[in-house]
Amino acid sequence: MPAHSHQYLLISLSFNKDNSFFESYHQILIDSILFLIGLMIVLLTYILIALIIKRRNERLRKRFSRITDLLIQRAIFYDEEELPELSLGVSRLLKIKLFRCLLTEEILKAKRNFSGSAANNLRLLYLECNLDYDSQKKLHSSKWNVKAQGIQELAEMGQQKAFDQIFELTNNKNEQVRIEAQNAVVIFSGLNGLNFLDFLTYPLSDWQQIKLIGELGDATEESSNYIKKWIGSSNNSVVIFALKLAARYHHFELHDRVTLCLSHPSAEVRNHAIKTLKEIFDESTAASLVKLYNNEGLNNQLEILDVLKEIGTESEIPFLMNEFQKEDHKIKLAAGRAIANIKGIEILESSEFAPQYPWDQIIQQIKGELTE
Amino acid sequence: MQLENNLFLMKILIAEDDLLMLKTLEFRLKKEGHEVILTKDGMEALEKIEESNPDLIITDIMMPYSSGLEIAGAVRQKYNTPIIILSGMGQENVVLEAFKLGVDDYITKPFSPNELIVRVRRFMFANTSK
Amino acid sequence: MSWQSIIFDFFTYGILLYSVSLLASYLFIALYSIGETQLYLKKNTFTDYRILAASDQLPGLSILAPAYNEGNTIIENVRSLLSIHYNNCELIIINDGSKDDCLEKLITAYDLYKTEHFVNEQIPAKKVRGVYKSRNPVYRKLIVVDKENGGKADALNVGINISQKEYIVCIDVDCILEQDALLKMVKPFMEHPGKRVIASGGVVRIVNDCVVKNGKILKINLPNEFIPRMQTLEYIRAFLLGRMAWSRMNGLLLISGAFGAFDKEIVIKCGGYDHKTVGEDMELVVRMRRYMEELNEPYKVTYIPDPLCWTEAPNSFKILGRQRNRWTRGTIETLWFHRKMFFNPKYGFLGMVSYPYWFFFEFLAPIIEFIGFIALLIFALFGMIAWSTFITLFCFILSFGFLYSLFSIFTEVITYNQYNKTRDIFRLILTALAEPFIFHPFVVWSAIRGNIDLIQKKNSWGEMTRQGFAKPKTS
Repeated sequence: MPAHSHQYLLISLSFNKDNSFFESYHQILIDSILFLIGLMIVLLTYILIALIIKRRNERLRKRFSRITDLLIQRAIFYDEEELPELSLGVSRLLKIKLFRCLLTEEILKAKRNFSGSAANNLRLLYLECNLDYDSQKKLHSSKWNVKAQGIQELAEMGQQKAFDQIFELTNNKNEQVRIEAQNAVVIFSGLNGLNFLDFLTYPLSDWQQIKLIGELGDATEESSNYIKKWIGSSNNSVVIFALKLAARYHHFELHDRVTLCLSHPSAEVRNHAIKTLKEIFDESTAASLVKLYNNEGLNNQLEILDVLKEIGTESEIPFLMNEFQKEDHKIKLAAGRAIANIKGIEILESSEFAPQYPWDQIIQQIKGELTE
Repeated sequence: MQLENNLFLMKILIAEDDLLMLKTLEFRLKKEGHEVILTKDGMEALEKIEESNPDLIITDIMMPYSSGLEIAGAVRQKYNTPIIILSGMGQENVVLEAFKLGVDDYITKPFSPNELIVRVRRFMFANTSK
Repeated sequence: MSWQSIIFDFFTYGILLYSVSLLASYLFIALYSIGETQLYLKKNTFTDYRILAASDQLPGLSILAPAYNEGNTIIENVRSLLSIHYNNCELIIINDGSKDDCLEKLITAYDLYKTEHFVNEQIPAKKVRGVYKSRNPVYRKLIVVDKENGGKADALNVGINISQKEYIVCIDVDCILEQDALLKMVKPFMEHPGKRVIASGGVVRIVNDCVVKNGKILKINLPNEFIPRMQTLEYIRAFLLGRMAWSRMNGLLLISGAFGAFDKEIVIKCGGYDHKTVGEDMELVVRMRRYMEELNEPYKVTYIPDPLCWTEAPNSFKILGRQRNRWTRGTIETLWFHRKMFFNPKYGFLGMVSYPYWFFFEFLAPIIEFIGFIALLIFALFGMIAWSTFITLFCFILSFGFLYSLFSIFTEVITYNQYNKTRDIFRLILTALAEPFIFHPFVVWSAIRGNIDLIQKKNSWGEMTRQGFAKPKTS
């Protein structure tokens, strides 16, 4: 689509013979032109300065990179016993802020790829160069992006002593600070770090939930109780998050609590409850879902059918066959898949409407999927 | 543990687009005494594999041009060379697919270089028929 | 007072008012955009997309790429698209009844076989002749759909019908996408709890003269030829300064047809792409927005300023003219279809600000400019205004234009700085100086032609489909 570049419009003037009016207008125009030209020169200067600064920073970065690369390699390549000493040149460079920033950045990047003794060495390097001091300073900055950066650095470098300060920020009004703080406490304490969910007033975005789940390790002894508590939260996004965790950790003991969520006022929560039941079900689950089915919208119905595909039994077949004949093709497909998974494709092929469109094609597709 | 027996040292090809990773693997493996061939992307990897016929391939999945799985698939069509996947992707379906394609080991990042070395050693003594 | 002078006054003061509001709005948009871009860049430093690629919680995406007579490059294009880092996605190539060997090439190269696939016609479209998948598990994401020719909109609708995922990403098949593109595109859909993000657009950058190897950009260069270079400047102005501002105000009406992501459910509920217009990309977004406004549910259309998609720009006046002509017609058709929203408070910001803005400052602008310029020239020729006045006015407008372009170059330098050779920045600046003398008049003229063509061809929509989708071919 076109850029809005139609700014070359010409302003018509009244051709009224009042020359003095015209003259002043003319003067204004000329003044404006000069003003604009002045601005252009200012901008040009800015551009030049910006380019020069970028150039210089690039050059510095390149120079510094050579050293930071060596430092990091030294940390990763060797085991702890064999670590050579830090040279004097390095301590001089460490006085330069840009160098310290670059080094911190590189250490963080490297740490994401490595675990074990290599990661430990990186952490030692970080401490050796007193970069934790910089991170602490960032933590206390008033600028949100600097603060968030400090949190991230302290968390990824395992600086546990900052835990309490960071925990206070998990319900901070700035989104990025909040997110980083939440990630940090999970990095520090795993599932126990999630205690901020108790008092979280802001919603937990899906993106953030993904990040948190990515950071969490395995379940712990108390995880089931915590998750149960969070399922009861008044913050819907917390409930959804807890449901995801329950599914991930296969906490079968939470089955009944999750089933209660099937009557939650929010359709989205119900949707996730259904999804979770796929992972933690018992003999009664399939029947409960069938009971719920007719009151739900299309999305949740499709979700139920998808779950029944995994956990459905013989007794659900009549219900599923009924759904297989419903008007919406998506329902037909989902129900058909469920039936084929539970009892096999033959029952579909032998039904009376199998030769008709669209069932014939749907059955063919399901058959194809089964053999894939 | 220094290895003295030269007969079991291998020619290892590494496909990895992260420079630090590449250097780390090179350093550690060379320290063990192996010969190391470095490649930075899928295309280069496939070329060099044809050229140099390595004893072991270590590859990432997320790389420019071709994914590590494509490389694994291509290699398995012709050779039996052991393949180790070293990747940040740990999703179940990706791991399953990798093994279905015939890879021999799957290491997720973040990983420990020490552990990698030990895993590599397993392949030294497996008789590789090409 | 003669009737002539009354009309004349009305005319001139009208144009005066128009141009002042136009310039003011450009200024506002420019300043507003920069803040938003800076914010995005700052936030971006906190996300490690590679790590997120490993998550199994990411939503499913279907990439839809219609193809028509792309036989020469289709294999490479598909290979490039398949190498994108995203686990839960399917790549649906829709062969829109190509007359060349596009389909055969794909079948051979990717070891495709015809599957039994039930086509759920959620959006009515032309007949599907076959759905193909690959036997090779490495290409498990690839689905090729063969259908009767029906045009780009129709092909996309078929893709939507076939898609099994929640979100669709509609692209031009010869676009080069960055490997992190999908990860970045999916993020907005997950970041706004409480609001439904229905669509997300990305920046399209110009790839002419960049070094490309096997579908990957190795080096970014400024185009050497004049016309593509002019468009580079144009795109910088439009994307960096324009869309970010609209996105921030949640008034974005336009997502590039070359690269956009949509919530499939809403697209289907709206009826999919409209094949009766040549501006199907813009029309869909407007229609989706309208739908959500009528539903009265909180929603958002977002936009990512990162360069994620690269495309070849027309390098001849002929093809450029056709493109701009088509864009104009698309804009007019879209505005006409949705005229109900014009200054209609029921449609909130969309009806009171976005739509009127597009009407006055996008649609009318070339017309008023054209008429205004001709009129002034005539006045000067007949001595009704002094030549010095004419020239002064002209210079004033030129200065504002230059300033604006310089400002956009400045923004580019302090944000992405893709053209990092100093020489290239100066070439861009020179290009900005040359623009009003050759390029801009041509663009305005193409827009006028677009208006004329539309009025003339009002009765022959049918011809659109058989031409495929007049994509500017430059190679």
